[in-house]
Amino acid sequence: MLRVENLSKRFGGVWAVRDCSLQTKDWHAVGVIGPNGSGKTTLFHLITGFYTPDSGKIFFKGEEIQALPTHQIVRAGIGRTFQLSRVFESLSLLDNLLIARRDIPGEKVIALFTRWGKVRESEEVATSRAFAYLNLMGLGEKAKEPAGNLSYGQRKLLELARTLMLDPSLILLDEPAAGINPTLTRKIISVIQSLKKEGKRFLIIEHNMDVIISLCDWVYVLDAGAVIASGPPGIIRSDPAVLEAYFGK
Amino acid sequence: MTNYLLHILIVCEIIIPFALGLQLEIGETGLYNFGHVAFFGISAYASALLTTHGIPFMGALFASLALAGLFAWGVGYPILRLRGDYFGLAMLGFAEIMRKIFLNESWLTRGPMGIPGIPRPSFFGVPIHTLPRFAIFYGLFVIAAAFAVYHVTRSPLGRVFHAIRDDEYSASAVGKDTFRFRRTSLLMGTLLAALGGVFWAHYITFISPSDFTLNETILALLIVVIGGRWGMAGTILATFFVIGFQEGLRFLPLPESFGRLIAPMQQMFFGLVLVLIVLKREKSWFHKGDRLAQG
Amino acid sequence: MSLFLQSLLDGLIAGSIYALFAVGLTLIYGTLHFINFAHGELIMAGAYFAYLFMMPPLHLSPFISGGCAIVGVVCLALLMDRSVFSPLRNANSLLLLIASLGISLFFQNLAQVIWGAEIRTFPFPLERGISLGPVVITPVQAWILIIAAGAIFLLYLFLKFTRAGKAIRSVSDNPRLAKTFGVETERVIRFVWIVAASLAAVGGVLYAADTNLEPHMGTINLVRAFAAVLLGGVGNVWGALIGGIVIGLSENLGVLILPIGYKDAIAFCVIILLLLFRPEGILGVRWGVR
Repeated sequence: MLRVENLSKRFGGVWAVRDCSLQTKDWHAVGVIGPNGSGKTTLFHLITGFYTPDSGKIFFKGEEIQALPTHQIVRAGIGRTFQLSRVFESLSLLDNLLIARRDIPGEKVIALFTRWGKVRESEEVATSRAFAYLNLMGLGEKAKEPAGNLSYGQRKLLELARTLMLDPSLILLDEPAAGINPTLTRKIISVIQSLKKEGKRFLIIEHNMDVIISLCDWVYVLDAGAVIASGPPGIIRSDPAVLEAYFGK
Repeated sequence: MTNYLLHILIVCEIIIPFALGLQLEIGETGLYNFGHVAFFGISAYASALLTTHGIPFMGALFASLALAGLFAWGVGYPILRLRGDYFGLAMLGFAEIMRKIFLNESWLTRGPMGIPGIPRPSFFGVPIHTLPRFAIFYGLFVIAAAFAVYHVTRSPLGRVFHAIRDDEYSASAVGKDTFRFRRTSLLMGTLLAALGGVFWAHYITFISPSDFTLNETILALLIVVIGGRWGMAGTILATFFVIGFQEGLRFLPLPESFGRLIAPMQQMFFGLVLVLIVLKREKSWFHKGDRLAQG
Repeated sequence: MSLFLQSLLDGLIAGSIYALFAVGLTLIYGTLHFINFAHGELIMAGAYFAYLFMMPPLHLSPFISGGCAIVGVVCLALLMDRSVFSPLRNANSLLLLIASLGISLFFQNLAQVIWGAEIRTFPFPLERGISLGPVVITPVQAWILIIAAGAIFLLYLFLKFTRAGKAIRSVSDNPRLAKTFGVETERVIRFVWIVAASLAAVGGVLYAADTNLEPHMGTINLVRAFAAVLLGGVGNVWGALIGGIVIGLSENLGVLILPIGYKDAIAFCVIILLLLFRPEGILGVRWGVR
């Protein structure tokens, strides 16, 4: 589904991602691990168009996407969350979800003033779907509150729900379990597992190896911006190159 | 006395669309447009020139709005690529360059002498020449404009504006073409400013480049900073306060030697209020972060 | 040809003054990360303080008046920082910009209340210009060049050889790094204000000596300074210095082609073009501001 070929990105004189290649084939969930500063988040920013690569190519469903702007990449079917989750703090939880749809009639100036019925209908249809996701995350009761009121963990859930509203075929999760308590971690894992069964595909950055092992079918290990090893999670865990990257010699 | 109150009301009706436009840009979308006055000026000049050359008021009104919109589209295309203070500063630069054009292209604008004798408006044959007529005529436009702004801020479109204000990166991560929406916001704000500009030209009947300085943008900024927190209603209310204060001072029976000091002292007061509000509201500001966290 | 050379000289003189403004502004932007609109009012205050001391009843010499002006402007800058900018240390840069806009409005109009809106000049006697080949320089202009160069040289010594100067450079280069290295940031910020205000005061006095004084003189000089800052790359002291001279030259040479009324628009055009095409500056490297 996603194929990254020889991707490179430099900041100043430093390679953040260097000649990086990976692909998701038909695995349901692929993990990306590596020590801090190994270029994982930069890789996500490159895939989603926040950065433009210096060289290399990114294919999604067979199409080259590395030159597209973020919103077009998202429309092509890649959703993502952020490492430090980013929600729209002044919007209600419900609006945080409602906004994440394609072709909303009420976002066009002319339709907004001429086709009130259509605008309202579209919002109503989406609202019931949004509530389904909010309830899945256990946030249904807070639907009308501004998202700025949420705790750190709840923001992660909201961000995931928002990403689901996009109906993406591939979801990039940047450390979904970082900094949250074990109960919430289990909740996120179970949500992702049920989504996998529904056919969603995932690319996951995570430091917590338990999460990687319980979710991922394949793991890539990044160090200094390049892939140094890859394999099934159980095996990659004891790979000497991986241990060296993490713990030194 | 009634005339005096009517005058204040009319000035408010001129400034309300101007301030609402900036509210839409800064307060709703997080576009810190420090060159807002440029569009007020462009439309004031356009309408003044068209009507003094015999074009009827309503035609000149729409042509002036269209021209201001065209300018916003044109400068927006490059400048909207900038963010935050850089955007604001580039717009400020644009506004000052426009003012230099008003000042120097005398063949068109009569330069520093300004354009006198701008005709009063007329609405399909009904002349608008008395204060009550001005108040009603402008008032109707202002109500329509306020309704439109209200409708937009509560719509899915307004939701995208708010999302961009909160976090533009997230907005693009949910598939929004943020450039296009920022441009929509700039265009809407510009049309509102332009409406105010036309009203200004035809009420005062004389315009000159000194009407369109940074101070006018700061006036709108002050209104937005005072009232914007309570949305559109707050902005309208704040306009009445600020304009009532400003126009009220002008009519105090003061000796000539002191009267000279009124304008600068009032500006000093505005500056002070701006600083105090910023200090007090530091935590609850419209616009939070604007950079992509690294990692 | 002589017109061109004369413009070149006038541009150099104006540019050396702008350089003083720009260096101060870039130091503030480099350490506090906002565009200080009130920098223009520090310039204006410098000019008016010197005027105050030069005129009756005090009648001090231009040099002593200039010295007093520096002291006054430094106090003013520290007062601004203490009362407004310091409570906003961690605020969004736009908030700081709006606050500085308010301060700028306040002081501009305070000056108008005190001294009136009329244009004033320093009470220097009219002196015959000295001919140097095809160009003419007045004694005042010669002094301006000497004092501006002296101020830059002192700044160089300060930044290069004193502890405070080195600390300023390290904060300006990389605030995060400086914090981890344990430089006391607040103390450095105070030094930055002192340096920036002194340069603004000296520049303001020189500017008033070269042209004249009026309460709104700060704004256009802020714009020139900011154009110079962008030319040099934000936070880059020597870049700003060269940027200031470039702005002075381009204004004075620009009016050979453009109508004189557009002279003040040149700096704005430079700003817009730089922001659009080279936000990291032409002379320096990018300093990680945005």
